[in-house]
Amino acid sequence: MLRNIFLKGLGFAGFMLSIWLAWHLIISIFAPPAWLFPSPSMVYQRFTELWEVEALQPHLRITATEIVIGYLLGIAGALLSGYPISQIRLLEKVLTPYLIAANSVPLVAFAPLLILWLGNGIEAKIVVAALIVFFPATISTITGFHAQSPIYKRLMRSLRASKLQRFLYLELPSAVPGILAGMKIGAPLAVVGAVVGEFLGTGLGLGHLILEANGLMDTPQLFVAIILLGMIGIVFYMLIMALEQILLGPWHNKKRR
Amino acid sequence: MIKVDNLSLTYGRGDRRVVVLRDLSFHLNVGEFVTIVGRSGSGKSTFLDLIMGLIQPTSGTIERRKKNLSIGYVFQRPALLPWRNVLRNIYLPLQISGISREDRRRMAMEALEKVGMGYAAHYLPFQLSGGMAQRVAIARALVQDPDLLLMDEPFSALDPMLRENMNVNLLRLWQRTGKTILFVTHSIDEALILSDRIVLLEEGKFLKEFEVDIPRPRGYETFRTERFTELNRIVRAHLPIQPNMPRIPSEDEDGVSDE
Ligand SMILES: Nc1ncnc2c1ncn2[C@@H]1O[C@H](COP(=O)(O)OP(=O)(O)O)[C@@H](O)[C@H]1O
Ligand SMILES: [Mg+2]
Repeated sequence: MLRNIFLKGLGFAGFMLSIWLAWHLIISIFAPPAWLFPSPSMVYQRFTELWEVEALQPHLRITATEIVIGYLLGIAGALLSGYPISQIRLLEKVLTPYLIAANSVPLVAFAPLLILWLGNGIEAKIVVAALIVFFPATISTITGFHAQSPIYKRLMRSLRASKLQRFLYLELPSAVPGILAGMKIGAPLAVVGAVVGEFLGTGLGLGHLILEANGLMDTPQLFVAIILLGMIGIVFYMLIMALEQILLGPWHNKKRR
Repeated sequence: MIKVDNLSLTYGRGDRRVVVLRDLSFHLNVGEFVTIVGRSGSGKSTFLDLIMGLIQPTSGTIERRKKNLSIGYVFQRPALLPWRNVLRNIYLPLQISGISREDRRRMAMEALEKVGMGYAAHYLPFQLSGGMAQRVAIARALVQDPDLLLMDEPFSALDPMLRENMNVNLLRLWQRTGKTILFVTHSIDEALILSDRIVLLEEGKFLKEFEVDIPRPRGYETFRTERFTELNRIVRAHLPIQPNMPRIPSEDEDGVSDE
């Protein structure tokens, strides 16, 4: 277990190191101008400048808030609608095609509409994030609630379990892998949703910072914003992996009897 | 303990009608070990489900000679919940009937000791071998101290050596606890070593009943006794020949069936 975490950490450090090396290599071979491709040290310098005058923190805070709230809303919606859909066959038959269709429409295309309706505040961006998390997570949740094998249903029936007991002791735990799969798919989507929302509106957020840097040809700032977004994504993903480890623990991926 | 009269079960209607069990009468005495032997699809599991009350008969009655007769059910597969450790799997029935945390832990531990697996309380199901998992399933069925134990081919997924071992252990358990057991198998050896009485089930009908007069206590050596071999031959003689299996006459018979 510890060894595993250590190895993963080592792999991650190696990965970051090789990106950093490749970056340096590109700089030293092609020597591009800073507005085209800044060196790591220039980006780092820009980062400290912006950080010291508190020019990053509000954006970071806003974007992180949009991502987290949008994500949680999307997942909550997926859980609340996924369970009943999985239980009522008719509902599932009618809705599944639409869920899948909605999932293949680029939902970010609705972002301008949402901004039009909800205004340019944080709400519209939260809704964009929630919406693109919602559909795949719902499909995953439904699949999760179907994952229990008939032999366990038979067991619960023979033990005379009530509906609530069946849900608590069998259905919910069996659905955990499916729900977690949805949560993993949803994490990067929430980041995309929030940033696309910010691209469209004016105001705050890392997405806005990217647009602004682009307009000013401030490529180091562009890099700073991109790297921060990447880091949000990675931290987010690691949190979900940790949650998975806690919930599924050692029986995860092991054969079932 | 249980008396069954003219029990029938039919699925579907009209053209789709399937008669699974027809006109079964049966009784089970307190403390008895009775085994139902039949081919796959003959209706054995359905019969146990009826006794358990999981399904209702189309006609006929099941009379329980005791109010609130409690029944434990062991399936062919252990059906242990993979996210619960052994102890928590065993106390699931107690948890469902609302027994306090302390009591259910203690009772689960006792049941686990009965099947000789006290050391494995905190194992997870994937860490158990097939035989160990099935013993845990038996402990789970015993944890409520049921009056009757239903066992549906509990050892048929195990290899023959382990199976003999499980048979002998089950016998010891039965002798110690004095439970009434209704057991289902398609192995005649298993039926003979275990039971007081064997009932042959074929296509939903009881064909024949045998008293097993092999003295107890029985053990590994019982498989090698003359009476065991003799009874084995007698029971086999009453099994219908598999319709879709061509029978090749052996040298000392001329095609006349006496099997
Ligand atoms: N729900 C059902 N609907 C229709 N037929 C069923 C149903 N359940 C069982 N059967 C039929 O009943 C017969 C007996 O099944 P079962 O009791 O499982 O046999 P066994 O346990 O002896 O192998 C089988 O032919 C099976 O196809
Ligand atoms: Mg069966």
